[in-house]
Amino acid sequence: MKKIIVMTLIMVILITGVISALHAADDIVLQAMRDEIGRSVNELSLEGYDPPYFISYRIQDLKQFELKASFGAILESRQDRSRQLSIEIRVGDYSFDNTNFIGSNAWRFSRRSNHMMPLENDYDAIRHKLWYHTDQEYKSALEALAQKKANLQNRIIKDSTPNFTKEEPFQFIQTDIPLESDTIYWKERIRELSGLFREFPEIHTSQANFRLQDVTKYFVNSEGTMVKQKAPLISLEVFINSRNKEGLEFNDQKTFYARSFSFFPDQTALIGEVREWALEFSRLLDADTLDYYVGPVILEGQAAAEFFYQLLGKNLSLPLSPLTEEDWQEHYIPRNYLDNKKDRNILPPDISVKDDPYLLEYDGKEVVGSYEVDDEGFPARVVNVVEEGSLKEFLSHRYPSKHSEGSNGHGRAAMGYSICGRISNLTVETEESLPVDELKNELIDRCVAQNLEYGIIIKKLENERFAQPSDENEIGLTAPLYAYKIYADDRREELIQNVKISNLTILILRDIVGISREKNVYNLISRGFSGDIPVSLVTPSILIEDMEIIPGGGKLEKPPLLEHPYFINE
Amino acid sequence: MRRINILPLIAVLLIKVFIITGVNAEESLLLKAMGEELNRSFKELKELGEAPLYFMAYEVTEVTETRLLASMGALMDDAYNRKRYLDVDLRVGDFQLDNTHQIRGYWADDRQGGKDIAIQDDPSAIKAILWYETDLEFKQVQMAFTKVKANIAVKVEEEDNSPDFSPAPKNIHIEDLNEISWDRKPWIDRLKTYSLLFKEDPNIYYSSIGLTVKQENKFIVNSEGTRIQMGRDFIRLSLYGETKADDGMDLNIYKSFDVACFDELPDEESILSTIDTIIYQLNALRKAPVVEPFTGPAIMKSRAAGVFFHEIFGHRIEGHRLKQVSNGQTFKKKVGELVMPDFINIYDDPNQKYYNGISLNGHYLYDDEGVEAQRVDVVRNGVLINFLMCRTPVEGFNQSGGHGRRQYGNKIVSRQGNLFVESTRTIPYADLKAALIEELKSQQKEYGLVFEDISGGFTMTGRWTPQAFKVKPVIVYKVYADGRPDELVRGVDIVGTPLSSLTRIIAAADDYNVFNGYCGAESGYIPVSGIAPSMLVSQIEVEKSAKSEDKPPILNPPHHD
Repeated sequence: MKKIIVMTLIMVILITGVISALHAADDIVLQAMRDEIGRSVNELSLEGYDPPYFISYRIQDLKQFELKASFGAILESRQDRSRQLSIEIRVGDYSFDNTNFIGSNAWRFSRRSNHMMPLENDYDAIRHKLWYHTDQEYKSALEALAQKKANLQNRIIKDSTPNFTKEEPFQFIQTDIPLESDTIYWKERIRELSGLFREFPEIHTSQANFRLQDVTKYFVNSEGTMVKQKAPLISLEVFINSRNKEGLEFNDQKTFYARSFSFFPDQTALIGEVREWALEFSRLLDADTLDYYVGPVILEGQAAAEFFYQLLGKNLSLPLSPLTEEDWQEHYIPRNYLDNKKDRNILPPDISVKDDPYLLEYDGKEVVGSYEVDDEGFPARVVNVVEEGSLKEFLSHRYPSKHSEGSNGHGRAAMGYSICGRISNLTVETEESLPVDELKNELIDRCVAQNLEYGIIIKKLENERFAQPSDENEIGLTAPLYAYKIYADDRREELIQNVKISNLTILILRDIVGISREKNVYNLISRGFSGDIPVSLVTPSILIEDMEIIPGGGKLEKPPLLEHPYFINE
Repeated sequence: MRRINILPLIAVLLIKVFIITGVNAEESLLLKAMGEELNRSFKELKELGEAPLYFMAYEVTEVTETRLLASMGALMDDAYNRKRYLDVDLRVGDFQLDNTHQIRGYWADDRQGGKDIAIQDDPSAIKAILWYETDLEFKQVQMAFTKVKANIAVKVEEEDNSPDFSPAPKNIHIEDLNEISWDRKPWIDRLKTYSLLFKEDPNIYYSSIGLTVKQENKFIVNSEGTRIQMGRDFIRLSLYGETKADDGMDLNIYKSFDVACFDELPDEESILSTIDTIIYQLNALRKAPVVEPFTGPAIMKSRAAGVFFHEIFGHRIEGHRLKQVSNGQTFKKKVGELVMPDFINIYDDPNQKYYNGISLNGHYLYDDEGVEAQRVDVVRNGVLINFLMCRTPVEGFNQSGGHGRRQYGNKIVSRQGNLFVESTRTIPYADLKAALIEELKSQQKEYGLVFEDISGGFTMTGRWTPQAFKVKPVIVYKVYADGRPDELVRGVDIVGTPLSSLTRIIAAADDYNVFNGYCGAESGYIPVSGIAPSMLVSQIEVEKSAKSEDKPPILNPPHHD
């Protein structure tokens, strides 16, 4: 048994929201941002052209410690710091400006330039960088506006929705408590964890990636909004890979995300959880597959969360409707399967869905999508997105459209991306729920009624971020990784491998016929139009009336020719 | 039909010698684990697979790097990383024909990985990765060999029938690997202080002072018994300033000092004066006139001449390239011919660590194939006599000259190390300048050009593109025939073709100097040096360089407002 150096640990520094009196003036970074915005709004103007009517600066300060380990040894130990700046400049006015247009510079619709900033709180150095990049962004904005105007000269546009909402200034300053960590302690923990795979000859490669990100976000805009907030993230992603005797390749990941050390599992729990997962993975390699199934399916735990995330969560972002110069540019606009479904029933009438950025934990488990102010400096709001099955409100940023008057505090983006509405902590609620066991009873009853020998329980869907998008169904739901047959006669469960869900549309959400009382917290890094951001889902297990499941296919390749050197003598 | 020629091969194998160097140093656990797993895999894999495995090598590159960057008195970048990258090289078939043989007609992907491997010397964890990556590569090379055989069957006979691989002596060289000892904190302070110098000038839009401290250790084992463990330190101090002319042209000057230990870095006084020079030159460049396209006589100052030779000549004598049918093969059939004036000698010698007390970036003792670095004389009295060779033979050149190099993650090819350009007739620089004016007069040109420094360049060696080169000068002066003072100019690139450019060298000065840098080609970025004197050429062509159309910033920098 490996010893862990616990004594040297400087652990558990909770990052809590501390709203101090407005000491913004004390903060050099905010001060430099505010002063340069002030000067730019007053003085920055190209002869014959309007000055900017809106400027915002976003700076993200990151102190990062990254560790990678495999098979009991460290692969990489990296420490770095960065501060990045992203600028938004609007010329024209709130009703018509340089944004919401895809022209020849189409990439700019979804991406923002990232600029390297001084790591230190040096007022002059920070302002110098702000000045230089503001000048460049202003000129690009002028050109974009001219392009947009030119493009509209000969077109009939019925939509007179303004381009931007006017907002009151908002200020929020959080005290800067660093996320302290003991690198030696973590090295030993992650190294030990990665060595766990020495118990599993069936697993060919494995890697544990651990990352501590101490993030401070600064935001200032020309309307007087000023924000400084912490967004720490601790993440552990374990990857395993193997190929079974038939030559089929299997990949899986187990992920842990937390905002504070106190919620990160201790070493015993962590090793226990990873070991249990690796055991299930090993069993999967030799499991049977199935030819074809159509019938009731239970999505349990992670599978239900991933289902809600991919089908519902990703489509709750406020749809974007920019003008495009050419038709082909429309592929830059993210597809939203719920676009025309506002005030329509997208779920059964007993289900409601809420997105709550203020939620910190559920049932003693931490959620990671939390924030107090969004990335546009807009205060977070709890949004009832679905009420009694009906889609009521999209998650929005400061983007007026037919669906939304303005922001509901969900404008989120990774650095380098344009902001859009994204989920934070999405919770699925219902008035009529059953204990999990009764959900299974319901599944069996339905199987019996349909003369099916067995039903299907899916316990894990491939994590959308690591999986190949599915071509089997229009909405691209990822394939089940751990699916079980549950036999109607004796309720025995039998693991099956390599299957996928076929012929799925967004309407499957309406086919939920049973919901468990127990809820699961699922933390993940969500990939989307505005980049990778942490989100959480609090979801019950669900019973779906009918799903079609078919064999997964896949290329068969020879397994390794030689024995793994570590397992030779076993 | 290709015939496999066995007799000469055996002869070469017999004269193989053992070379063991390195004193009292100990083989690391990493090297030991690599050797053990290689032996096991080689023995067992030889029996498997359709084509026989006949050669196998592992190379691990361990990089420990600290990167610091300061600008306007504040730190901009502060990163530390330590990593090891694994490259697995397998050959199936035999020396004459193997999986690396060129496939004609389509582009083969030469990248292979640079896979992460444990930085802790845990033999089990190291071997687990070696095992897995070897298996992948073994399957890959078997597929490649099948394609090679089919390609040979369907294509016309190749011009160059030399083997795909040449035998090399077994080398054992074990060095003790010590970490660079240096003090980070005072350096951070120094960089910040130096970077403040740029702050005084409102026209400098961006500037930085950078320090990269890198230790690169290499561990090589192969199935012929070679075992290499060696380390090199690379320290780079860089000074950078950027501005814009009123016509939108971006102007920047980057000066770097590449050294092998901290003692060799310039002292504070000369760093500060170099920064002053950069600031002065940037301001002068802003006001300098733009040169129109021109052909005529010019002087390339020594460092610029070093880059010039590296690009236009060096890349064309890298041996492996002369075998590729898609390559221009400029010099392949020119061995024994006069390719440049008879007063020029060129050789590449990676063994040399210093020139005139200046560290040479292209120095190494063994190449990435574990072959001892050798001085290779390429041009003697203007006559081409040899190529820079790795273990890939070219017709008439069967042995490696220790120039097989790569950045981890790439296949090894032949590359330059320290390229020395020497002149048997030299004159003082002042006389070279006088000769330029004479040449101007005889050509009846109003002015000629002096290229003080070159920031880099590129050359095209493929057959589908012209055999042209382009180098980007930073500091260029017009020198007038009528004695008017020299005038700084901007906005030109040197262009040309290798064969004609080389014959136009008229004279060389005695002011040898070193350029140190990193060169990118098929096998990635590798450290190189060029050593050359200033040279006078009778004709050079310059063309307008690409330029930004953006106006300079509207407002003044905040602290100059």
